[in-house]
Amino acid sequence: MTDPTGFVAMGDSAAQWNCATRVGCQVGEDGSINRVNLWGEGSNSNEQNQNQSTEKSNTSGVKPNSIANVANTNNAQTASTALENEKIDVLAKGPDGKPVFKGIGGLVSVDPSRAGPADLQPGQLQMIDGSKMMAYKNLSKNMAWDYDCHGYSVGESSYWINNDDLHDWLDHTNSLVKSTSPEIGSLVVYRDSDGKVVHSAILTEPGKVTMAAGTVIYTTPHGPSKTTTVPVADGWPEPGTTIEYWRMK
Amino acid sequence: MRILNWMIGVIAMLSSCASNASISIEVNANKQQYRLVITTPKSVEINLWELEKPTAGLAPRKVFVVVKDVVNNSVHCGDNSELYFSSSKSSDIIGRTKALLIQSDTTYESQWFEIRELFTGLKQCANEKDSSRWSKFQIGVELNTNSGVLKSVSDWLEITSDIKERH
Repeated sequence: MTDPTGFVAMGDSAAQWNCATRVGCQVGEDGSINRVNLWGEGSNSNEQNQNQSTEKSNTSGVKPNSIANVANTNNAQTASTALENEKIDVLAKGPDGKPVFKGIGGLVSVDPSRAGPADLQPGQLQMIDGSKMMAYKNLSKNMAWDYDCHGYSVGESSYWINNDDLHDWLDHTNSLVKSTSPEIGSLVVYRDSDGKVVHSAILTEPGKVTMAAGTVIYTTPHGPSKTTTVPVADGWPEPGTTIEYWRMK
Repeated sequence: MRILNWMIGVIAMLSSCASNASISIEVNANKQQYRLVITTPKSVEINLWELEKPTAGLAPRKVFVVVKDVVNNSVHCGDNSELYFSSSKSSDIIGRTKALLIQSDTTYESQWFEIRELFTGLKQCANEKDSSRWSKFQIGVELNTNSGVLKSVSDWLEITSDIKERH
């Protein structure tokens, strides 16, 4: 198990699994669960929730540099807690606690020439605001197709979501609001010069995002990974890109 | 049975004729651009969607690079494939069809594309993240047609300092 910070977890309990798949949490070799602040120092808080305020005093808009400056004024513990408590969560859950996904139509076989073959089940995700979003569930063992950037950002690393579908959903959602004071856990949306959504990520460190990107698999010291962490501006470095931050309403 | 075999033979011959179509990659090293050229003695249908860029800043969907470092090791991402498609970064890659018929004895020329866009995102996922050690590359394309797959790979090209700095 590898969380987006690249930490390889040991053990297989539900708590360990949840920790291993969340940013800012590490499962030690002895199976202990440790919160890790986003500056890389273990806080060893043993799963204690700390309901500290995560409000930031950013008044300078959404430029990446301003985020880094503002976020650095907050202490590490606050940022870590913010991510645990405030990472956007927009999927409706069923009684089993899993996202509600209703398959529609037959399987889609993807073009195997780039990232290998895979069969995807098209369907709709039920969102907490009552809306639905088109998504694809990978039924193969080809991890390249497990999720894309939007699937990581809003699909709990379990679905492939096309640009158009996230674009349309953001136009109408009642669960997220665009923010000029980004916080750890914010959804970061990248748009091209025409205003179309081309990429998304999660703000996981001051001035940095954790992201997936299409079928790309990243090389890490711990092996292949679907996610990487980069400076906000490097998330989608094409000139003309605009960056937005979205928070839970 | 003999007639059936004869018919299969004829069909195979027709396929072979149709597959005489070819694709090539023209490079303008001065402008750091390239384009794709398809020539065919018989009409052939391609999926134009495969030759389009999914979004600005990325290469056409079926175009890739093979990159080597200064000691001739492959620069690749976590999937260990030698081929890098920058279009793989896009979320918009569930296949679609945009048929284009190229008439017999005609030539299809794509627009000129920027070479730098072939490398978008490579540094982030590569086994060799120090792009100053990247040395040379080939551009490749594999295009589906109604009569088979057209493939082409360019000669080895030198990676410019501009690409190394950008990516």
